[in-house]
Amino acid sequence: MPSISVENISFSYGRGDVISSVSFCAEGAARIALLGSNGSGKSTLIKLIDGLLPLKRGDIKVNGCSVKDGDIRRIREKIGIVFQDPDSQFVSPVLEEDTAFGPENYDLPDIAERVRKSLELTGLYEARKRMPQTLSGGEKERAQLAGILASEPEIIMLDESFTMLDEEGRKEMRTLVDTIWKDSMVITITHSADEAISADRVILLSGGRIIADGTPETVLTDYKLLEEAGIKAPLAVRLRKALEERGFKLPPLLTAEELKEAIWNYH
Amino acid sequence: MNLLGAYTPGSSSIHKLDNAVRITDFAILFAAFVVASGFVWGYILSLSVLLFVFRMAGVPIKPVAAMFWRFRVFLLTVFLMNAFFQPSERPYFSFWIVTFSLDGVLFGLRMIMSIMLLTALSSVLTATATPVEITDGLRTVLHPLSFLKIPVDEASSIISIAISFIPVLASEGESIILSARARGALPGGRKIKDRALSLIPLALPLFLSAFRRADELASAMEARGYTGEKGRKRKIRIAFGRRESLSLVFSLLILLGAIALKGVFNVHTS
Repeated sequence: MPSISVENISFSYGRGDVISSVSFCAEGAARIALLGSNGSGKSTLIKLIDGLLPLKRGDIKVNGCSVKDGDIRRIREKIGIVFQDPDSQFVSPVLEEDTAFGPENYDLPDIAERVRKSLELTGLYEARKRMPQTLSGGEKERAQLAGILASEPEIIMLDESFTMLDEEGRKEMRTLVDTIWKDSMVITITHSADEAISADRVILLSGGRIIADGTPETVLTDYKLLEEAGIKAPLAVRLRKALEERGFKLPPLLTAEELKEAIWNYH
Repeated sequence: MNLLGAYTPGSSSIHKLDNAVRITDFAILFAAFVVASGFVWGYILSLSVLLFVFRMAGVPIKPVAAMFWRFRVFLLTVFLMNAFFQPSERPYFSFWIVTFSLDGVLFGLRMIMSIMLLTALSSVLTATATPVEITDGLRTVLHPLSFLKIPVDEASSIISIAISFIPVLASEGESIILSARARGALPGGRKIKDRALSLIPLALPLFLSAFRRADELASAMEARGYTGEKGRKRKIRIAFGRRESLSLVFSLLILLGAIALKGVFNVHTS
């Protein structure tokens, strides 16, 4: 079962802490949203978890192995990160080779089979000989997923991924992630509260600290907290509040569908 | 077209050759052309082989001829430099360091003939293989050198990544130019100095963007377990079939033919 344990970590790039006394634990097939505005430290946090930045204060354990004294390659093998800009992440001019990059580094068996399966699952098998940079926006994102899927990680981190796609494209990608990694832990790093709705746990970061950790229903409806973090509440929550100020009493809700339902059933 | 001929998609036997074998074939043919240079029968052999290779590849000769026409000044300069500066014991006239002789003229002709033949042969290679295929072929062919601690894999990875980034940086460069124009900048001017100066505001953001992308790429590579080529399990694949065997036999026969011709005519090239 995948697990992450972040124990009282702090990190600085030189002047002032960008991560300050952060602790949280997660295990199993959790869907976690790390929510925070620009500069809140969310990208730094995932880089620390993956051992991409050196941790000096506190400890992080992935599947029980500490990033401080563990074999960092074995830890990374369990984690797959998709960064924001797919164009900056392709390492080979041929999609097939790019997909094989992770398994080759981790010395995994049956690389050709892994590549084939990953490209088939992401619907890119026909494009396997193409140059990744010539793919469409959605295809590039799927190529990124194929690249990490080939190493079969147990923890997936999406760092502001899919933001270059339209709403429909993002929805499609989220469905694909949920289908492929239904038994894995998926951590979504985002600055959009609407993106965090589908998670089953929201960790709200502000100034390098965790200021809230709970279900979307509790965190994403707390205006004061969201304001402190510089995050806009989800659209449906804002509409509900506006309606409430005009005397309409609606039940607590998060999504547009719930709002539609509430208005439909309003007496 | 570019200097060595752009890739022309096709289904010829040369297009279908394994990347490593294709590189080896062309290397052997290059060697044969070099051996066959300097005497008439050698040029006849090289030219016949070249025409045959063009035909086999289904690549048109016209663009290559057009390329030579574009570089006529360069070719003429090479010829004249050799015709007028080649030392000779039988000069028509000689003044200071200038010596005009039949030997010089012949040497100049040999030089431009060799340049044209080798360039034309290179253009068949670049027309039948994408840069990626050429890099892949080179990596496979040069792989044995990695046992001598020569960083062949690192070099091929760097070339591969550089090739991958060409379209991204080209499109970014285009966006930078467009955004500069949208804000009233008009890159260019009549003077070379003005043109050069107008490129600075465009080059800076492009460099910054290239560095940012390099940083992001480094993080992405590390996140996917990259710790240097040493730890990588990369397969060297060679698809060696009947086509590959025939092509190698053909190339070797041409090389042997060139050596034999040179021996028969007892040619000593200076």
